[in-house]
Amino acid sequence: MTDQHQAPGAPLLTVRDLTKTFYLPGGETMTAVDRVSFDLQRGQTLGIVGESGSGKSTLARLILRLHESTGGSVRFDGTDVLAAEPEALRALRARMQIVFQDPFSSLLPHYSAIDNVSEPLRLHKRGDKKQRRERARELLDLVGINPVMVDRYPHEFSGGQQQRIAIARALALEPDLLICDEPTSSLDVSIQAQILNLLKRLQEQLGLSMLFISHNLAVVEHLATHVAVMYRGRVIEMAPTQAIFTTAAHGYTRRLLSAVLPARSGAMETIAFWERPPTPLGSADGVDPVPGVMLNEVAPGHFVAMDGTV
Amino acid sequence: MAAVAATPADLPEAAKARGQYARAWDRFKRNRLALVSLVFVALLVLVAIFAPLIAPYGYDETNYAAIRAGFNTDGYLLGTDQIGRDILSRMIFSLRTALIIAIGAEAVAMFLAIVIGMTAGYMGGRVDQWLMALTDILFVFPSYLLIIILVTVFGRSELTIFVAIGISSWVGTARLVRAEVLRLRVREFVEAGKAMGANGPTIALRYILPNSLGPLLVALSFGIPGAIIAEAGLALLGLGVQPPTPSWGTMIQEGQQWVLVSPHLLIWPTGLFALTMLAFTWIGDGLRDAFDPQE
Amino acid sequence: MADVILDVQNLHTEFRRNKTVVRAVNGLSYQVRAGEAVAIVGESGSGKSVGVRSLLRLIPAHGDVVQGKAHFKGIDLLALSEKQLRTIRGKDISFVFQDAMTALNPTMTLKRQLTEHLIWHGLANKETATQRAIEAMTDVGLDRPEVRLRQYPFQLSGGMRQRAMIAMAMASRPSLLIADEPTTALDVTLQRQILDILKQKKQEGMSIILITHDLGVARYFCDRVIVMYAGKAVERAPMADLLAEPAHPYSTGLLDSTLEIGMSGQELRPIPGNPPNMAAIPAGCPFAPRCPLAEERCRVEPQRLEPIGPGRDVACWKVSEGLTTATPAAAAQGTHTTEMARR
Repeated sequence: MTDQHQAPGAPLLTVRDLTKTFYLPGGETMTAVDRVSFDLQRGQTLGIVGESGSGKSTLARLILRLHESTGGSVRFDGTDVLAAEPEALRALRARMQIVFQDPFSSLLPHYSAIDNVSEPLRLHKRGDKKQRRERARELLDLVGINPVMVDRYPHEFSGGQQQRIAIARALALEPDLLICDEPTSSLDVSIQAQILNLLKRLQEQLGLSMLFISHNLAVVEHLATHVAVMYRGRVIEMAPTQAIFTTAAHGYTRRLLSAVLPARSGAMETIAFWERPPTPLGSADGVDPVPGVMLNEVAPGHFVAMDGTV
Repeated sequence: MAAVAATPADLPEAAKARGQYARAWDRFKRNRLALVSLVFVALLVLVAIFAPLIAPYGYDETNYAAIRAGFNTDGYLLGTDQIGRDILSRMIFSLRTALIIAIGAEAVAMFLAIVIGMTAGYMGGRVDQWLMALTDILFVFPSYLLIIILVTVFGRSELTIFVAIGISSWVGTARLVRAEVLRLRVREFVEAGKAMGANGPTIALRYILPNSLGPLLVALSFGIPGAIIAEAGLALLGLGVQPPTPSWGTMIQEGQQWVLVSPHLLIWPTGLFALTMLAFTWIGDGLRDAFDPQE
Repeated sequence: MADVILDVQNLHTEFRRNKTVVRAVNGLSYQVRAGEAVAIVGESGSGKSVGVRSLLRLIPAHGDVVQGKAHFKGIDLLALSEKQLRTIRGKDISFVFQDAMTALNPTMTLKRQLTEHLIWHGLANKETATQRAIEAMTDVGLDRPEVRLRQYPFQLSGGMRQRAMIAMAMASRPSLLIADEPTTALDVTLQRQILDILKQKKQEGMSIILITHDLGVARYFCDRVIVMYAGKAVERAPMADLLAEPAHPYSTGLLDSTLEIGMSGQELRPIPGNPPNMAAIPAGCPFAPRCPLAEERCRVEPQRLEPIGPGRDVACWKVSEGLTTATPAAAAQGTHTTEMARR
């Protein structure tokens, strides 16, 4: 094993200049993730927000090496993830798990709930069949799936229940890091709240470190200790959660915040700085600042891309 | 802090744990024609297996005193053929031949199709290009010609015939498998599997393959009669299984020579043959509907 | 009650397949007045979309409007023939869908899609139709409309497609616009822009029905709101009143489940359980199995809308008989109240 456990205080996950360039037919290139760097300390949750196409989902897949990156480095608990040999990578993956956006698509349709949750244990040869089932049952109980339902198949559960099963499966190997890629975006409001409460409870009970990817700022605020804002593949602002929501410095972050439509009265006024009506000309999608690469530290732990004052 | 658990009352009471195959079977059962066909085919299979016990005579037992006997004469229910063999017994043994050829040919074809289709679909890139080029070549090569060449070179045993038929009929299914793999590969459960630490063979064989069995079953239900027809065609060309082993093909081929004097030599085997083909077609249709994703 | 342009009464829509009957809409009534924006809010499967699509028969073939009346400017839409309906669809009532990519025809230029129905409805001739299309496109903030008219949908970005679809809906200057989750697939900044267009249209006097699951979106420009659950309206109220003081326990639950910036650290109070199976809706109040206030009576007695205030009614006997009050502070402060059952 190449695991060299680091001194306490060292970050659990260190990402440096992580880059992914896609080569499109016709010789064009598209840089989906562009020199992204951050540290994630144990027990922290980094929320990654951005709109579609900002590269936030690709970033998650690069960290897990579900996609191969074009440049940069990822160190997980001192081990170089990108250089890991297949066996070492398998061992690493056991310690970082992912929950996807679409729970139905991410569960094995021909496995029952309990078999889905046992599967990672089987793959990593933990215990015998009976012990694995026992453990899976405990995990399903932990996420609130009724024990009488564990032998049912994914399609027999509601979307929210499917996501609970997917979370149980991700927790089976007792990972240090849980990556959540828009885990509530496909769910109804009332179910979304159930899942968020569950994740919050797990965070506290298990001391999980999380990477939480979402386009929903309120969701990120609810769960994250730190927030990174991505725009066209780059992190343009990164700060402790409180700072992002009170003293956002980059124009794009502020724009994102001001576009949120709160349901409750009172909330609307606090972030009402929608300074630009629909753009009549030029980019109809209304995004303009081209962020710089260098991040400036404007306050302790609060980084903003160089051009970031609009 | 109260965990918000879903209560079991939320699900309809009748909902039991039922996998996709159980649901497909439920839908299949609703199709009367397919179900009757399935029962019919199952009966034929039983008859084939127990042929020596069921057949009143041996398939090569000749009785020169009763040549081309008619319906229900001299103790021969369906009459006898041109050299006095019991037609019923020969038909029963023909079922055996058909079963061996069909199962053998489809086993060969399915094996090749799954291995090649899965490899092409899962590996992608160069491997996929080369394998698909190979299927293209085989696709345009007249399959009958291939079978005939193989049979003439390697002889007319049942083994050669079903291997030849199998080798010449896996291409379509391989493409089907590849398409299924390409469809399922992008499903998140494959990515989830990778993230859990599953390796390529696990993903291909445990996760993807079981989810593409539906279309494979449909292909199989059309492949089986295809193999039987192929054997019959060979027989008509005089390349069927080595006599005296009976097969539908040889019986039809022999019967057609006497069609003007003793049409029953042709009618019985052809009738059963046609019925069997029809049954498989209906089963295939039923399976296709049963696995139809839009419910 | 002047100027009611749409009056839907007791609408029932069913979907049948094999032996299962899904009662997607189960006795829905609502009105829309001229120049008013009404939000129909609910979760997936609540029937909010079918409840509106049924009016113009824009539902799948195995669906059937089995009961109800829908008077639009005095004409019962449900009694019209397909042919008669076509003279209204896309002219007096227009539709905006969630997914512009599927709603626009990929093989036709924008020009054809934007002008054809104008000519067909006799609203314009060939020359004036193009002029109107250009106006409609400028209206929704599409730049260089003359160039865009020659383009195909796939040549536009997602945001522009959505605008083009709205332009198409607007070009006939309908008196009623039905927008079915028009921004659900869009990013927040884009969503804001699209909603601004709709808000503008409303201010110009167009009536709008907005179907959404997002109370924040509904609040942005709607005057009134209808909360749907299991194919029925459980509460109808002025928008501000509902948000300040939800009356039906489901409305309260929905608002309490809605997470908002500035709520950090506060615990969400989700509605437990899952929405009912629409092929087997529970007898009595369909929300009873998930309702914190439910009693025996709720499980047996069907609930009908009863007035509880100006422009406001609710389908919950506990509220309408004054046995419980909604909780005023819940929305404004973002705090959550549990003492609903008291009193």
